[in-house]
Parts: sequence; C-alpha cells; structure tokens
Amino acid sequence: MSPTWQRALLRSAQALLILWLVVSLVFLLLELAPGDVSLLFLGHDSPELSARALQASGARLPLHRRYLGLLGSLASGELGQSLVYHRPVTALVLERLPRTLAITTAALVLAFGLGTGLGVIQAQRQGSRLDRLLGAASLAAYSLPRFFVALLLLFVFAYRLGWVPVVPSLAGSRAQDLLLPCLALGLPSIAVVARYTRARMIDALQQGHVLAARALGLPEWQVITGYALRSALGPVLALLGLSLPAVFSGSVVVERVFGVDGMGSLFVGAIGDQDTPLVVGLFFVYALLVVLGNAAADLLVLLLDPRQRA
Amino acid sequence: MPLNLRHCAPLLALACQAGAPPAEPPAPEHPITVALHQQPRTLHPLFYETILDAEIGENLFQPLLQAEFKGELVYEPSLATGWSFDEAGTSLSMSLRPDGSWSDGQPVTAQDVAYTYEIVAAGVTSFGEFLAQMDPEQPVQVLDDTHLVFHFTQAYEPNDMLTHAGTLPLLARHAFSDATPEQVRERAFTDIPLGNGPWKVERWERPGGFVLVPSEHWVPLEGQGPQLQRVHFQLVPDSNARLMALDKGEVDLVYDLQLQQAARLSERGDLQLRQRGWRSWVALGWNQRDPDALAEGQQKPHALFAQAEARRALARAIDAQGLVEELLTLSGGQVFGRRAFGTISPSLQRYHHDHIAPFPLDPAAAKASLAQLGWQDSDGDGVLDRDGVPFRFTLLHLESKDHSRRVAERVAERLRAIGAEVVLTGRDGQPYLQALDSGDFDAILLHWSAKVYVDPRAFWHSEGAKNFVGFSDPQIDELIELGEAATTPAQARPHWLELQERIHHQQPYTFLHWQSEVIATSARLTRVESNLLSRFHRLDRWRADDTIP
Repeated sequence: MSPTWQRALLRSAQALLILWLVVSLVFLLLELAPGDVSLLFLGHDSPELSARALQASGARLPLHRRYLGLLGSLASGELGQSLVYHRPVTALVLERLPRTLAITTAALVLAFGLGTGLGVIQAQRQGSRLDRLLGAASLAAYSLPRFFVALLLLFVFAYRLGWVPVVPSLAGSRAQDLLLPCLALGLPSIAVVARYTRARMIDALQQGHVLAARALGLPEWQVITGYALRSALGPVLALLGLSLPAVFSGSVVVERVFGVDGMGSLFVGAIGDQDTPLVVGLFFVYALLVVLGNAAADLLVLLLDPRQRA
Repeated sequence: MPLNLRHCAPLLALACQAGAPPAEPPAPEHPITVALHQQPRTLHPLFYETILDAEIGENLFQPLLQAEFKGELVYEPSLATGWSFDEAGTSLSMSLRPDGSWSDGQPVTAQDVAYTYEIVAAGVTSFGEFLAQMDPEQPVQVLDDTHLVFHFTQAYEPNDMLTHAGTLPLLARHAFSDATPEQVRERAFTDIPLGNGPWKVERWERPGGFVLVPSEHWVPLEGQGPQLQRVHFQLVPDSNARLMALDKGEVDLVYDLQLQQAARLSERGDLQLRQRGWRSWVALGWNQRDPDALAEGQQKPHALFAQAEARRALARAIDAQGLVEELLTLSGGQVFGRRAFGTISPSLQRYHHDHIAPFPLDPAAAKASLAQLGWQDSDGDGVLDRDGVPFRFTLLHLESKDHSRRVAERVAERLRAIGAEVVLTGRDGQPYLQALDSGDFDAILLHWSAKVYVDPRAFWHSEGAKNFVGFSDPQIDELIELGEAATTPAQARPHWLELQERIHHQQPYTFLHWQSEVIATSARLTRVESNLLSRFHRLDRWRADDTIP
C-alpha cells in the first residue's frame, strides 16, 4: 500500500474516532445536564398523547439502549426525530445547512484572502508604521467578541448607512443579506491569518532560496509570490482546518444577530429545549464539517507543497 | 425635536381630507411585516405548542364562534350563526352558515366539525380537555351539513359550554381522508395548513418566515374582508435588530419590548406603543414543602415557609409598589405594570377583586412577626435563626430574563435587611421548569401568563395540576368547587372575590405585579387589535395607510 493511501486510511480512522468521541461526549453531557426531557411532552393537554409521545421518543429507555440506538441510527445515516419540531433532524439540518455553509465559506475565503494579503504586506514592511497599524488593527479585531462585531456592523452599515437591510429578505438568501454576517464572522479570522502569515513570511524571506531569487535580480513581486509566499502558504493553509471550529461556533452568534435562520439558530433553540436528538444531530454535523474541512485543508497543503508529498 | 416633512405628512394628509367624509384608506400596496422572535412550530392552532403558534394560526381558521375580549370572554357568531341550549341545558345546537369555505374552495360542513372532534378524541391535539365535559359516547351529532348538536354530561355554565363547543380550530375532513390521527398530527408540523379563515399561507420559507395573503374563498359575516394585501412574518431573533428594523421602517410590528426599549421609542412620533392588557403576572412562590424531603418522596413542611404568618411577614418586607415604579414605569410617567394580588387578571373586570388592601411596607413589623414565630438572630451573625436553623433559602429565578433578575436582586436586598439570607439561583428553560414542576426549590420567582377566564383550580386547589408550592387550604378548595358549580357569572362572582381575599391572606405566593406586554407599531398600521387573546387578533380588521411614511 502506498504511503498516500496509508495516510488516507489513518486519517479516516482518526475522523471516525473523533466523530464517535464527539457524539458520545455530547450524549453524556446531555444526560448529566439538569432537566427532564419528558417535560417536553407535558405540553400536551392529553395525558394519553404525552405518554404516547414519550414512549415513541424512547426517552424512557435505559441509558445504554439509548446510546446504542443513537450510534446505530448515525451509522445508518439517520439523525433521528426532533422532539420539538416533530420532524426528522436530517430535514431540519438540510434546510439550514446551505445558509450556514454560505456564510462560513464566504467568511473563510474572506479571512484567508484578505488575511494572507495583509500578512504579506506587513512582512514586507516589517517594523514600519503601516505594519504597526495593521498589527494593532488585527489585535483589536481578534479581541472583539463576535456578537459585538456583528451588532456594530449591523448598526453602521444597515441602520446608519442603509447599505444593506437590517432584516434579511423573505424571498430567500440574497448576496446582500449574507454580506454582513460573512464580514462579522470573517473579521476575527482575518486578524489571525494576517498575524500568522506575517510571521511565516518573515521567516520565509530569510530563507536561502528566497535570498537567491533576490540575488538573481528577479522582480520583487515574483520573489514574494513565487518563492516566499509559496513557502509560507503551507503552514498558513494548515490554519484553515484549525479555524473551522471557531468559525462554526461564531456562526451561532452571528446568525442570531443577523436573523440568518441557519444551523446556529437551530442549535441555540435545541439546547434551550433539551431536544436531545437535535442537539446530538447538530453536533454530529458540525463535527463532520470540521473533519471534512480539515481533510480538505490537508489536501490543499499536499497540492501546494511538494515537500509534504515526499 | 425639530419638525420635518416626515413628521408633517400625517397632518398634511389630514388637512387635504378636511371637509370630506371619512373614508377607508386605499388598500395598501406595501406588505405589512411582523418581526418574530422565533419560528412557529406549526401553523395549525389545533396542534399548537407555543403561544405564537396559536396566535398566528387563529387567523387561518374560522371557528364556530368568534372569541372576543370585552372585559370578559364573549362569543360572537362566526361559522355558526345561531345556537341554543335544550331545556335540560345538556345539549347545545348550532346552525352553520352555508357559505363557509375552505381556502381550496370546498364548503365547510358539520361533518368537518365532527371530524375535528374525532381527531381531538384520538388524543393527538392540544385540546384534549375540551372533551372533558362532553358525552364520551357521542360528543357531536351531525343533523345535516349545516346543523349539529353537542352533547354534554350535565349542564355547565353556558359560557364554558360555548368555549368547549365553539372555539376549536377545525380540520378539513376532505384533506385527511386516508390519514390516521397520528398522521394528521405529523402533517400539522410539516404541511401548510388548509384553513377556512380570512387568511391563507402564500408561502412558508423554512427557515426564514412566511407570508399570509387574504383567502379568496372567505366571505366575511359582516363588513369587509382583509384589507392588507400581504402580511410577512419575518424571523428576527435579536431584540436589538428588531428595534433597528422597526426604526428603519423595515418591519411594522415588534412585540415583547423591554421597558428600556419602550422608553427610547416613546419619544418617537412616528411609532405607536400599545399595551396588550394585564396578561402576565410576577410573583414569589414560597414552597411549603421541604424540597429535600420531597426529592426522597416524603412530605415534610418547609422550615421557613410552612406558616402563613411567616409568609405574610416576608410580604411586609418587600416593596412591591417600588418595583412597579422602578422597573415598570417610564420616565415620562407611562406605566406598564400594576400591583397584583392573585391570578385573576384585572382585565377580567367582573371577577377581579379591586379592593384588596396590600400589606404595608413595614420591615420592622415584618421582623417583629418573625420574632414572634421564634426567628431571631441569636448568634449575632446577622441572619435570623430558630432552633439552630438559619433563615436561609435559595430564590430561583429566570437567568436570561432581565426583568426576573432585577426583581430577584431587589427582593433579596429587602429580605436581607430583615435578617433573611437569600441565595439567588438563576436557571433557564427546561432546568427551571423541572425545578418548578418537581418542587425542587425554596422560593421561586414566577412569570406566568394568566388565562382570559377564571380558572383557579390548577394553582390553588390542593390537588391542582400547577400547585407548585404545595399549598393546601380546605376553605379555598371549597370556594373553587362552589365557583365552578355556579351556572351564571353572577353566582360565581362572590366565590371568586372571596377566593382572592383568602389567597391574599394566606400568601402562598407574594404577588408582585401584573405586566402589560409592550408592542410597537409603525404609524401606518392602524386598527391593530393586539389584546389579551392574541398579539395578532383579527388581522382581517387591521388596516395600513401607505400615505403615512
């Protein structure tokens, strides 16, 4: 078996282990949390209906049977039935997934596009006033809580300037409705990427092949993009996988502020309602997205950095 | 604030109309947008799970009788144009209008009513209790398409019988021909409902919101049908965003405003603040059972709150009026709260006791009363104690509700001043409800939505379903029985008044205040009927004037 296949198999096994751990931990935490899921069924005025719904939900089965049932369902691709919405968790997730993916993907593109560019500029002008200014701005953007950034953007661009509406359109996702959520989600990540790129670029600019390229008289832009950045990009892209959990958790807050009815909004409601199947299902999907995102990041690094393929 | 054209527009419009007969404004072209704090789970109110489901859904359905609130719940003709009781008072006959129609054009018949009660009897709706007074063998007898009879087990108070027979949202039998009751319920959560009311759902963007448009098959009993062309219900979960959207004119109605938000809006001439009426009360519940013993399945009186005199002493130490003035009054004097003494809303004018004398705020008297019961600071640590037991308790409140937290803090401060050690514990959602339901608390700050009719059994009867504090008083049980057995409002009234006096005297809860929900609307929205029954009551009578910016 080739090393590439061995690595792929190892990563797949790791991914399965992570998913199992996430699901098991979430299940356990929900079991330990105060509250009784059977209360969800007491809203029915009919005791018969309450009892029947409780029975159907399996909430009264022994712990180990519920746990094994959950793993069995997940293995067969079923996420169960929401106790609150009375609909399959898969359907609820699929309705909301596109919106969440749209804002998180756009935020990541923004973060890595802009963040890398800013990092390169800072590295090129290391120690200059611009470098210090951008460094301070990055630190500020990184330090501000996402909900505050979200509210600030909404206030300035929607409320004061009126460039975009405060309330998203009912006619479905429009680009302008997703602009501010992307920005709110992407800003702190831009800061992280910029600072990381700056550090990697400063290192790269001192490396022998970059100095040699300069000595050969290549134009500066070619030295930067063709040699230094190429060398620094691998570690920066590895950051993509690491930023996914932060971006997804940030989307929970950002979606609420901007009224994006995505997975984050669903997640907040599900926790408040102790809708166990929905919470576990959402955690599973989030974990799956992070695992897949990490795999994609690894693949990108492999494609861009020949040393990794060796 | 300087006047500008925007503010003058309504005056200009008025001036142009001077001398002309009052006329309906032209049908607005722009849709009305309502900002929702959460998505409804279903739009079929027969299966409602949240108040929002019921409030929105009622506009899609025309029940047999239209409930209106006029100081008390009254019923007006709707799908049923006439009704009568038999001599024994156990049967209620109704005549249906022949032109009632589902939004797909099919006629609404007595068979639809009977089918609805069949589904209710199957135990899959939120209205199981509606059958409790009806003949279990044959609750509904269909005579023909437009005539039917409801059979009851005995004669009850007529308004009660009308409630149970006339107010259910109906199911279109033809739409569920092959469905089991469980399937009917499932479809209520997945499908756009087929209604027979003035509105129908044009589209439901899940997630996002939905749009209502007038049903072309609805024939109003009198007057005009809906004048609004389209009503958008748009999810805006964040309260700050809702306010900004209202301010920018992107939404026309925002409900459940916090008082600070209302204060900001009250200075705006182009917005209107509306109160819904006295629907929510806030009170401190004193657990009369020891929660630790209760957890082990035993009944033991609570060391601090089992005696009524102790509860009355605590009531004397709490500044309930001060809370209304501090937390529910705007700087301009507009008040959104009033003192409460029980669960019967002041809006129920016939039954609410207006003359209960509150316990005067008197911390010294409170301390003296507790001393008479043996509670004294014997060890000088600043906390009262009796037989080695300190006067220490936890006060459970809703953590995420700003008002609840503030009330709890102020109450704790007052009680600490008389030597009680109060530990504040905040919880939310299911954990809070579970503690409430299982009696796992010493004292609890409760925010509750009152019913629009008198229903004291759940809270105050020894065996009431919502007797969270373990209160038991044979005299009150008897008053409840007497009130419920009364066959006219006049007969019931004295029992309910006496009940309120007795509850105030016993203080199972120390009632703090009634709160009126604040609703803000744009000036273009008129004839809004947000009331105790619903925030969106009778949308068909609402109007909008596009000439008002």
